[in-house]
Amino acid sequence: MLRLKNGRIYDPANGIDGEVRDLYVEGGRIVATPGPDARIDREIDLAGRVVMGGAIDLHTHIGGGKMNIARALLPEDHRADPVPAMGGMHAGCGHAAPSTWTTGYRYAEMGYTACFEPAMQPINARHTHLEMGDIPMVDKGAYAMLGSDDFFLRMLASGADQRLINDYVGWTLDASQAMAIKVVNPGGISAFKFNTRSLDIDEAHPHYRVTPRQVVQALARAVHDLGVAHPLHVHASNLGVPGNADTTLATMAAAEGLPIHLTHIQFHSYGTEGERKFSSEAERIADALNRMTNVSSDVGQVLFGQTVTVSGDSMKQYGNHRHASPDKWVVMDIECDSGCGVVPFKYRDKNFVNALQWAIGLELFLRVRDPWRIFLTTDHPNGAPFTSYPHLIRLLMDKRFRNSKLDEINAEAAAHSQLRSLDREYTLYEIAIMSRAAPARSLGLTDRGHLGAGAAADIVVYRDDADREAMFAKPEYVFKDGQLIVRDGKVVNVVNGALHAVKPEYDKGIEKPLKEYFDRYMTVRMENVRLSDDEICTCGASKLIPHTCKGRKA
Amino acid sequence: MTTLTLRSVPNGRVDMTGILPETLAGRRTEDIGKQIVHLAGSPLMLDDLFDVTPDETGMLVIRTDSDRLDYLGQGMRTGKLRIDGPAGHYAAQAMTGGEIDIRGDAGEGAANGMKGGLLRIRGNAGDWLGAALIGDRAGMAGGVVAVEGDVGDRLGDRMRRGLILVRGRAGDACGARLLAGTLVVAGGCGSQPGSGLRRGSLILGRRPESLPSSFNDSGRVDLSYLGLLHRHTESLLPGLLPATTHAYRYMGDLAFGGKGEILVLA
Repeated sequence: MLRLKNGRIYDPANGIDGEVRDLYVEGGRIVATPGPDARIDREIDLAGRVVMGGAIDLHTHIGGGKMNIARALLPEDHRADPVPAMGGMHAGCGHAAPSTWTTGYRYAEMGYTACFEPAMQPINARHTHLEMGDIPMVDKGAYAMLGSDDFFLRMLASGADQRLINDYVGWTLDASQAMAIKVVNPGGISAFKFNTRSLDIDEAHPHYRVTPRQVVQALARAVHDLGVAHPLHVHASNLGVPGNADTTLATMAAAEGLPIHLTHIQFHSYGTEGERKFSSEAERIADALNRMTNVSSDVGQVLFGQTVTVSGDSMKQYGNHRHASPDKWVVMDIECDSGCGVVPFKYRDKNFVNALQWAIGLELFLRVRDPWRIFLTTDHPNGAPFTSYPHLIRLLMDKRFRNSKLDEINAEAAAHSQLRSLDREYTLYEIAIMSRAAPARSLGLTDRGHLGAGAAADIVVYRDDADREAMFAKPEYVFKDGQLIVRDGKVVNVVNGALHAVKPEYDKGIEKPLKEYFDRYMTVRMENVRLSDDEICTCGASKLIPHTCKGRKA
Repeated sequence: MTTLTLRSVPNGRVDMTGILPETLAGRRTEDIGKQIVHLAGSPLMLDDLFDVTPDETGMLVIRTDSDRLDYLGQGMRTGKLRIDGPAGHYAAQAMTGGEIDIRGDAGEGAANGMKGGLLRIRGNAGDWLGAALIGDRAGMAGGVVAVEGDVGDRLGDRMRRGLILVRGRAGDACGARLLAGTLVVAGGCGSQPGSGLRRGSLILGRRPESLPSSFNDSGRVDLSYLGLLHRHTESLLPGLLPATTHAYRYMGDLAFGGKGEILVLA
């Protein structure tokens, strides 16, 4: 048994806010305080240290075809950041689009123990799982993308029964070994294939005549009925378009009280005021989030520097391609499923739009009062690479630092933003909520993201440093399932994470029309799309952690 | 400055990235010996492989009998580097200034993505000399490469600017996909010279056995710039070009816009 004694524990799921306590670990789990005659094999004194659960990133593009396209597109990203092999670790490279191994090591070195890929195309699920299997150290999971796929849109257009839609969604989750359902630009990716350049929430799709609102409602209902823990993960319409805040608010309302998660909401909080017709609507969006308790969101914070934007939203990525820096880009069709767009991007602090995007993200963080419903993300790599999380945490926790950065950005953008008037500083407890407890709860990971008895021993120990960036960049110890994997911000033990997937109940009768559909229209047979439980481990995950779903009556 | 003498043949490829006149200048001998290089992907110190001898010259000299030292002069910006012996692969990659003198052969991919400076190769060079860095869309973008010996295939592939001079013979597809710049090969070349050439000049000292069919014979022309080029090259590779301004001109590659030319001096 391992005893971690005298650490200052931040465990929001169990309401522990900075109390000095001992933790006991046995068999990869946290156990209750044992009796006096328990054998302690190892003891680490953590006096003065901050102890939290392993961090969980619930929205980070670490797998799926688009990252490989980004890697192929950006040899300079790899050349500029080589990582030699050492201590049992693979060599790797890459800043914005790091190699799989480097992704895993860097996440672990920051105290992350689970990462969720939010955009797995069901047709591309095998690739995604193979790629995630190559990412060591952390647990993984993926959200299957629906909403612009032909089969679903046909069903919706023909007025199919919600129960049939539920079966199709259940089948997709099951066949692609997914953790949740994501919808990207609802119906819009498909509309782009019919030569449409934008599709607002109540605009009818040019071919199927269904609206994004109907898509969101049908999918949110299906996810809810199937009993999937994580609500429908929505990348709303009109990403990045000035004035899109109205669409975002309409999307929240479209859920009609059902749980819904709006992702990278920073990119969806823009107004059209001012000379440049681009302004912050963070206040209005944050007010709505504060009011609507069925809505959660992650921010997708922009931080300055070179990165690459990867998205299934081929419609908006096509619109952005003229901003590509360096000037090269890829937009492609994923047969009947969806699309994909990869556009390299450099966010500049002296650029009005980029600087305002930065301020809008921070405003959202500071204005949304409930840290259980707003998560810490940069939408890696779209707003910034995940390695900038410690910097982001410092911006949230340190007002003086934030204001000093505000002085450096484009002066006009700084003047337009109300960021300076926001005095809030996040506490360690709130950071622990938004990066651990809340994502675990949102995803239904009952034994992760907390430090109570029975939880998996994913534990991170930080030195308490006033410079929060330095503190969160280099944890002193990271334990994964009870094993010490990182010491002083360096990997000391390479482990392999598990794969989380939900196992909903649905009527297998959906396979009959689906098989006919696949035989007629797709390049792959339905039977070959499905990934079995056994295959997940041959893909590289250490094990499959199934999550049963308690279905609700449709 | 310093002489590095390779003690024995290393049992793998050595990545010499960072061993440059500009990074070693002004440092103490023991300090230089502690500089990290990679042998077969694993880090070790420079003095594990080399004897480090300080001297009064302003030049970094690397003495080697082995062709396993890769990335020599990679990214070099200034100063002088001499290789007494063969260079491995990727010498002078992405070099932007200074002078490198290789007193032996060079491996594959030398001067890839070079942007400035002078690279001399006294022996032969491998494939892809002056081509693009792996994954990049354009090759060498500036500077001068002068080769005494022969070069391999794909010489100057997708080269964008700069000057490459070869006294010996080039392999297949020299000047392929050339975007711009000037490529001179005095000693003849293999098949498909200038295939996919967009702009720029490929100057051949000997008539090739065949040209791609998408080049158009434009007859014998008198180009005064050949006189200027002759004067310029005399200081780099004396006797490389005949003192003539006459050449046979073939416009092409017509499948790729046809704005380039192959000039045959013989």
